[in-house]
Amino acid sequence: MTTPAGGASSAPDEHDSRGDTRKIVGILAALAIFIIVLYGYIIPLQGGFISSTAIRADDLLGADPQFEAQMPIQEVDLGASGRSIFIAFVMLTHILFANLHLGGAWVLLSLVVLDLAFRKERYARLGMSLALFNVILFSAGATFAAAGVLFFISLYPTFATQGFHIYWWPLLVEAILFGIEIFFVYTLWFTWGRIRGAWHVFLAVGYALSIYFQTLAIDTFVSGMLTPGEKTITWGAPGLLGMPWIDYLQWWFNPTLWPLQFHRVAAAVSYFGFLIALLAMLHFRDRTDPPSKKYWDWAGSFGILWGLVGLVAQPLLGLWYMYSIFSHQNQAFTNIMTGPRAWEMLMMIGLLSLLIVTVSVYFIERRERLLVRLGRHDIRNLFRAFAIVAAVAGLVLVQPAWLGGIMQFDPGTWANPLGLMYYKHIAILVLVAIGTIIIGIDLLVLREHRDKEWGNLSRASWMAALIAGVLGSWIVIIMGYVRESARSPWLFYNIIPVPGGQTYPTPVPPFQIFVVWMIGLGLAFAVFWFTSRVTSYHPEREEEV
Amino acid sequence: MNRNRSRRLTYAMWIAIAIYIGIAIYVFWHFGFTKLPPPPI
Repeated sequence: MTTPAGGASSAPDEHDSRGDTRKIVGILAALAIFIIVLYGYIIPLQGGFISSTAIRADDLLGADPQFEAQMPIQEVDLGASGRSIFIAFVMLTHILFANLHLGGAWVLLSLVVLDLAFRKERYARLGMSLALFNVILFSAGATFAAAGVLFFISLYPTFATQGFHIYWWPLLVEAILFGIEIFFVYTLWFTWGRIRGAWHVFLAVGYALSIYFQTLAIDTFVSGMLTPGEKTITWGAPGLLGMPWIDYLQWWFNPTLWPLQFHRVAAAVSYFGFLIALLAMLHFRDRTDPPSKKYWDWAGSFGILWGLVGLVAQPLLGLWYMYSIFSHQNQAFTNIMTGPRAWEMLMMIGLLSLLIVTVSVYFIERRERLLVRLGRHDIRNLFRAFAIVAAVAGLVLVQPAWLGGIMQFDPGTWANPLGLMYYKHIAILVLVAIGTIIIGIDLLVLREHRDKEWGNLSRASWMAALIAGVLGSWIVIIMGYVRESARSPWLFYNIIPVPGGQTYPTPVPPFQIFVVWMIGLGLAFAVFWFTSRVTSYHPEREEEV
Repeated sequence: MNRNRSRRLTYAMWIAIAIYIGIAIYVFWHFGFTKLPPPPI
């Protein structure tokens, strides 16, 4: 069924369709203009270059002295925000590797079930490739996680002492689940085709659940930093429980735990789907034999659909998450919605809009020949309309609500009439509807007709899938940064400050975090591609369809 | 999978998609328009 990575043989699949590459140029131009306007105009005019440490200086004066730095601050020679930059690089890169499992486990489960139900070679082939990919990269994610813990202890010792103490039990569960998770995914790959289907499904479900609960365990900590369960940290007597059980429950199951958890799962599924598409496009270019071309074309489309499924789920979960922050940590809400960190939300939603436009363009270009052959001009026109409407919705969403002040309601600020949240809610709903209907059309209307078209991937759709992979990954680490900067200048909100006061401002400034994103994405993509080259199974003959 | 079953599944999935969009509208109405802060007048 499979060949090892590497050698390909036969002549390239003749296919001269370039597609409409002007659309791709338009997407890239829109991205460049958006970034330039954001960094050159919006961020300065919303106080985005002013640190939260300076803005919340009065709040910091009220911090409990026992939670201030007790030891000399360890610098890392990266400037005043060096420690934050260091942690941002390690943890955001860790997220890119950890999400391979959180999102990939559900995609893998779908492939196991599809393989069982339809017995098509492509499902088994992609499933085995993804399982081996995740087995190999498990150690990279775990290494970044362990390194992050060491760096937290070294750079933020007071926070680490208190945090690891409060979250001892969830962290123990998380550590144990590392072993269970790798057992499931390794066994899943190793036993593919060797054990009965029911057992295989059991392994896939076990993998998905173990990573789900592992993420839940670490999310008790992560969410508790933004919305701590108590107003201060009060320790009790020595024993298995360092404070009353009810207090622990408040800390662990704090108000933003569940929205963060579900939003993370949806984001990871979306990320993994778009990543499959990106890697599939690189394999499509790398391979020259027609069976491989067809297979990787299909894999790219499969990944885009999963990416879209995760993407349309995120706005609903995100709204729930934002409402939880609004209700339980109002100041953090104002930081990221009506304050100096609002540019981060603009950036995230701007990229999300562009992602929906890109996916629409992918489907316009990818299904063009098929739709013409089927005479479905209605769907052709609908896809085109979706791209245009998504672009208009995106223009609404990237409108800054105000300019000329740090806070939206500061005296003298200019309120943008196009930046009302009401309009933005409607625009997001439009994007959700577009994404959902695209999934429906491709899966339900075109499903049976697509097989004859695999391999005829135009250059424009190839590039659209690549861009979707980059944007889908970038969004994930932007979201991580938004959550971290929402609570700046606190580590545990209103309890433990980032030590060092005004000498060590947080969050990571806009240009520095941009560089961190680029390095993290570049590193991760390089590792993913080189790993994928040795973990991917390619077809050695034409699949019967 | 026979044709009738396939057709029923297709209808069921379209209904699921419609329900999802309905839930999205409700969630945005419930949180976005009524619970989160209104825009300044």
